[in-house]
Amino acid sequence: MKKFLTLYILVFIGSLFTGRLLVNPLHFSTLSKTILLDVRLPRIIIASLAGAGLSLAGLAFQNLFRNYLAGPNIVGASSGAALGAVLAILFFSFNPLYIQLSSFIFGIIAVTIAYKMSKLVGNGIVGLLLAGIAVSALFTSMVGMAKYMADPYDKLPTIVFWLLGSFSGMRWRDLLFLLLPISIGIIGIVLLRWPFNILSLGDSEAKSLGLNVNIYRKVIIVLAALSVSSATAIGGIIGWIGLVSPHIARLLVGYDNRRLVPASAFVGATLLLFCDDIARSIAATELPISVITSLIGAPLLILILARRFKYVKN
Amino acid sequence: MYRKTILRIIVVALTILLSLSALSGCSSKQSTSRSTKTITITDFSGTEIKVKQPVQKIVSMYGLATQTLFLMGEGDKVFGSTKMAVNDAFIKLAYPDVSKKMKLVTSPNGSNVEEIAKINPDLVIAAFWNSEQVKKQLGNLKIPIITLNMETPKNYIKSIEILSKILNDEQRARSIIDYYNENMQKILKKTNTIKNKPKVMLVEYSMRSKSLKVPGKEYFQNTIINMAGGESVSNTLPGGWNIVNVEQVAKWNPDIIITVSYSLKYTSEDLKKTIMNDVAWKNIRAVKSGKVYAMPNDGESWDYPAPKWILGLYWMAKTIHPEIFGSLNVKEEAANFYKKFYNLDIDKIKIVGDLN
Repeated sequence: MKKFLTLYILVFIGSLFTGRLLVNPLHFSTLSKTILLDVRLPRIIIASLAGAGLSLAGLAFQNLFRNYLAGPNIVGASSGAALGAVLAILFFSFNPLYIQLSSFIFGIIAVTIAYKMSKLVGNGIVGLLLAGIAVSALFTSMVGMAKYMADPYDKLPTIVFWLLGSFSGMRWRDLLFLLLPISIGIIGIVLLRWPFNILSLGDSEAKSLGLNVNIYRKVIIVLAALSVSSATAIGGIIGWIGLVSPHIARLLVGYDNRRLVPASAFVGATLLLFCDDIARSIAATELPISVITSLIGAPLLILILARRFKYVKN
Repeated sequence: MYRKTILRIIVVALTILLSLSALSGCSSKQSTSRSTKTITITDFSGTEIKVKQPVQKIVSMYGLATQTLFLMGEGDKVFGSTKMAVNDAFIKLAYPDVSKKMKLVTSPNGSNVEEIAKINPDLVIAAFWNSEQVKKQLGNLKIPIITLNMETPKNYIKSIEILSKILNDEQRARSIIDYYNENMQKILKKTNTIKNKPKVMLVEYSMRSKSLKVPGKEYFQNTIINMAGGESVSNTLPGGWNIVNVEQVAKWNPDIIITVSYSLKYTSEDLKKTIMNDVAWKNIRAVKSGKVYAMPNDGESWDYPAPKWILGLYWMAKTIHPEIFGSLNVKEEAANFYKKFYNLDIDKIKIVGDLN
């Protein structure tokens, strides 16, 4: 775990001194000091937390569904958060706090609906998976509808930019908003690393080992929903981090959740931080974060799967 | 062997065809003939269009053209237009009755051709960036359609000329064109020789917390800043609006910041306040020296190629170079403008922004 921490700290310090404005570490002007302390630092912390939160949510869902293709959006949290944000942009466009709040609340609502519906369509994990897909599709279609109706001159570009995610314009106040829900999500999932191992054996084995599967399942969903909704509310839709980071961590530390969980958190934080550095530094124009995360995440996933396949074959 | 020869013949034939079509494109000139009560006009796409006279009903898919038709006193002929024009607070104030009958016929994702056909207009005005598909569909309905480009000062004036010919209103248009040309020259004469150009940044709220939009090189806002004797920091960025963060602003470190807004729900003054109150901006040169100014907006912002851009130019010149334009009273010029073209008292118009 020390290696992960060291790497993260290195990227963290590197990020502080990366950006459009060149900062001389030996001599700070007042301008560069403000940029460093009031612009870069909060943004770096927010991106790290969001990355860790998304990665852990992805890992939690991968464990819960025993499916490595599960990502943070599998039970509809991101789609719900997207609809919340888009509605707020349409109706209270000039108050950023409303956009964040509405997004967070809708993320939670979507997961709640999916959970309630899962009881109607099937038993246990398969029901939840199906309900999650349906709810996700429903919310996504409503986002599409809202996009269709939005004012093309100002609201539509805002919605599109929001849907591609960005940490641009983050200040300390935004961290305040994010801190509580995402900390609960991150710390909660880290504490659950032991039950994860038992859950991965399958429902009946877990039950026979004395684990109350239903309660743990509920707790995991709540924690993951908190992480995803709050990260999405702050940064918009951020693709791939939640899917790829657990895979990278798995490749490095193996399948034991006691090591995998903290490793995933560090990998997610480091990866998203690195992507955000690119998004804010590469051009004068701020790039949407999902463009970068997909660009890096997709080839990375193929690379990991190829290595694993080779390993399995031998 | 044979195949090669055939290929050669085809290539030669194609070349001849292409050059012929290019030649014919060059030779078409703006010509008007009034013999059969139709006039022929060459628009910005280079096509000749026949328009029956007189034109009574217009649908404008180009919001800037609609606003300009109101400037020309021909607004009552517009029966359908874009969201920007239909919601235009200034038009509502100046022509409340006309504004009500104007229908929304173009949606974000294209134009409603059926709705336009229902209005049965004598003329449709399209923007050069409108999709060819819509134009083709309208062409099939035998509705004459002209394409305009109003997004440079020169093209703006040329567009007024074209519109006035179609509407047979050249005399009034002449006075408008003279006004724009003369006053633009008045400013340019003084700013042309300026060597020491302050760095100016124009920003629009992006609705995403504290990230802001700046205009790229294609945008009119940069032209106005340049004409007013400033150097726009964002004039090398690509395309239209670009989202930038405060770090990039710190890198540019502009001398002057101009805030604009196209919505009266969150005005340029609100944006100015947001910038002045954000700790991250406090050490940017313009903020430190208090040189953040809110662009006036009377329902139409003054910074884009709609009728008020000439007022925007006065305002920008005075804002960037108060030492040169000390005697220029922007409010008075605006009052004359509203009186002359809209017969409106400036006291009756609600103008937000730093005007004084």
